[in-house]
Amino acid sequence: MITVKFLSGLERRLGLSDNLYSFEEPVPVPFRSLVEKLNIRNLDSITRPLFVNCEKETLTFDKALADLNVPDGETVVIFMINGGG
Amino acid sequence: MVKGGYMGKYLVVDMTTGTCETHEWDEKYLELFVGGPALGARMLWDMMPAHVDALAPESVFGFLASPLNGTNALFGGRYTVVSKSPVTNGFNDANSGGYFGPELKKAGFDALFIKGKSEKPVYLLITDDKCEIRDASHVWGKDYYEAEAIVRDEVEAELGVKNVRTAGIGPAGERGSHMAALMNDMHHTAGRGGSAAVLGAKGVKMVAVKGTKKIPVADIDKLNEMKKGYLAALKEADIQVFKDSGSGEAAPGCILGNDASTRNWSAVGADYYTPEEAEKLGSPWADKKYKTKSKACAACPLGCGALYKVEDGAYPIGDTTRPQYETIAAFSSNILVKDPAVNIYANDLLNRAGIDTISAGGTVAWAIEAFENGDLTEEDTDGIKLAWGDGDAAIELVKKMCSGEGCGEIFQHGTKYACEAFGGRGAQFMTTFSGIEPGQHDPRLMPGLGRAYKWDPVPGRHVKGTTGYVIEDDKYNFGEDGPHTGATDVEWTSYTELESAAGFCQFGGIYGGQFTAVEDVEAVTGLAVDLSTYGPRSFLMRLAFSVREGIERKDYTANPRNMGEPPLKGGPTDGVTIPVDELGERFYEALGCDKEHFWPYKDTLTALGGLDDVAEEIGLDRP
Repeated sequence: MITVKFLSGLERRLGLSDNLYSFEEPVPVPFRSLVEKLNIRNLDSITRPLFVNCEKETLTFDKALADLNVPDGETVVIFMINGGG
Repeated sequence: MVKGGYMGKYLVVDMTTGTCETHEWDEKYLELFVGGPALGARMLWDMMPAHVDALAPESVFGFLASPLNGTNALFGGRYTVVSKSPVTNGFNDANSGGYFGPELKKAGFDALFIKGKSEKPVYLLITDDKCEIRDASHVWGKDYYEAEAIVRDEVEAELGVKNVRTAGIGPAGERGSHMAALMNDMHHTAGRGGSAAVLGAKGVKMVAVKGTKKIPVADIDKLNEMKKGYLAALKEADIQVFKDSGSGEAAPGCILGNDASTRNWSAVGADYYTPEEAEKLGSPWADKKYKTKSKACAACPLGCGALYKVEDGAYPIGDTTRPQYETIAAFSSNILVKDPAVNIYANDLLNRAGIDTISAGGTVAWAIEAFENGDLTEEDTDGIKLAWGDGDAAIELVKKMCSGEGCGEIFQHGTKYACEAFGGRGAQFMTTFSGIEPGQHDPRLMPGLGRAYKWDPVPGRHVKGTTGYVIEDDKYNFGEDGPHTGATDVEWTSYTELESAAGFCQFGGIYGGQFTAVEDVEAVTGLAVDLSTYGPRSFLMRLAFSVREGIERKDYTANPRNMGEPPLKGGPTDGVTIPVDELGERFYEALGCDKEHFWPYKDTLTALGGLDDVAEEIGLDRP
């Protein structure tokens, strides 16, 4: 099983209802296909850097779409840098 | 012509003679500089001789309320303090929210400038068109929270009013700490650059203000229309997390995404923090346990502040305030600490002492790295065994800074002073910019911020300039046509110049939608703002103060580490190096300055208008 988690309310900004999703997939599964399954509507509206953390490494969202294959049992965390202050 | 936004007067208080004088503005200054840092720089230029020590009686400290303050312009609650910095020996400005700025205007004054030196501790009481110097012996030495409560309660009882607003210093400012922060309305802070030490050197503990005047607005219909627009934009934007948890909601993402510093800017956040550990450092996690009340600045519909009550964990300190993002990052990933109790307690200790939390966190990180490398020993730290991730040791060092006792006598002045006091040991680990510890945003993700950190007259600030985050890898284009340099950098910087002058909170800019500080200022003051001249004029006025002090290009220092030299391995900024010197050269060239000194040409200053005398004194002849 693979889990996708959104941090700090990012799921709402992306038009999703929950911050946690589980997938039973043949593994490893490309990150791109998880994103397609999530059917994220507002991806283009995000004007700040989006990142993906998986297996103790943080990648840019674009790099994860291109390269990341998620192994079984992993949690993929998607988050945005939101400025702080 | 100015039609609103100002009360038309400012106060000059001479602590040596004990006199308070009211002056009318030269309206030209308001038209040229609008308010805040640049207006403050112009006033300091006029009022202070060059080359005086920042803490000398001849040095001047200024509070400047902003044109938006008190007008109900949304997000317009911030005021500015200005002085010479005891750290850089150049110009310093810092700003803060709360209610102090609006109240100063209600009392009839747009600004307050303090010079001289009082023989005994005093506080100022400012009421409608009046200023009085009062004895402050009973609160001198007390922590800021306690001192403010005493002064506020006694003034409220005496005047029979509520909501007296205050700004002042903690014990650190009394001792001349180079990290001393100006505090107001309990937990708001104009923290950076050591300005509060200047006020402390004058013997002024606090300024208490109460006013009843109405603040004029040039175009109230336009202002109301804009308020509707802002509120509609906020409805559209997803602001609930920020509203609930303030800037600290960003901490987990910034730690995992390498925007916050990790291990004194030397490492990758995700190498040290799991997502679960990072989340525990965000305000939403701590809010669930500790939040008792939300707090907002004047005219703010967001309300990013909060009160906490902490009754469990490593430091059950009871009532306190919620740390902002900067403090959280400075006292977590910066020093590899994972327990949120550490940043909450450090925030409380430093606010009470009146010390800048960003600089304090940077100083602790430097000390830990120097200690790890053997450059500092227990002899230097009064026996504290500093180590990455050791929150208790970090808190012990913070307590030393706050008391100024033992090694705190040295560490209370920040990284640069401490490194020099220890004979330069650990200098290779100083991540300061001209001696100022930077804000908790990484230039390797925001290259324009790198330029601002290193080359702004007020270094190390995360609110000056920036060209935004790099969102895609191809935006790491540092060519002359790139998105982070030259005229583009000047354009972005010009906007932040106006935000600061207006008293406009940058969070309003992030969430407020279609309107900007330009429309706000125009509606409130009736002035027409042309950013293409306003921005450079404002920036160069701040720069001019430092140029007159003799500060030039070679005096701006930085650790190459902060710019990715050597580059980080792994993480989202893997391999990134920011060519900060090139960015600085292009920025100053676009502004009309020379490359050798980063000083303005005479014709640059005269072309901007209103700076002829400045040009005469410090302008260079163009070759």
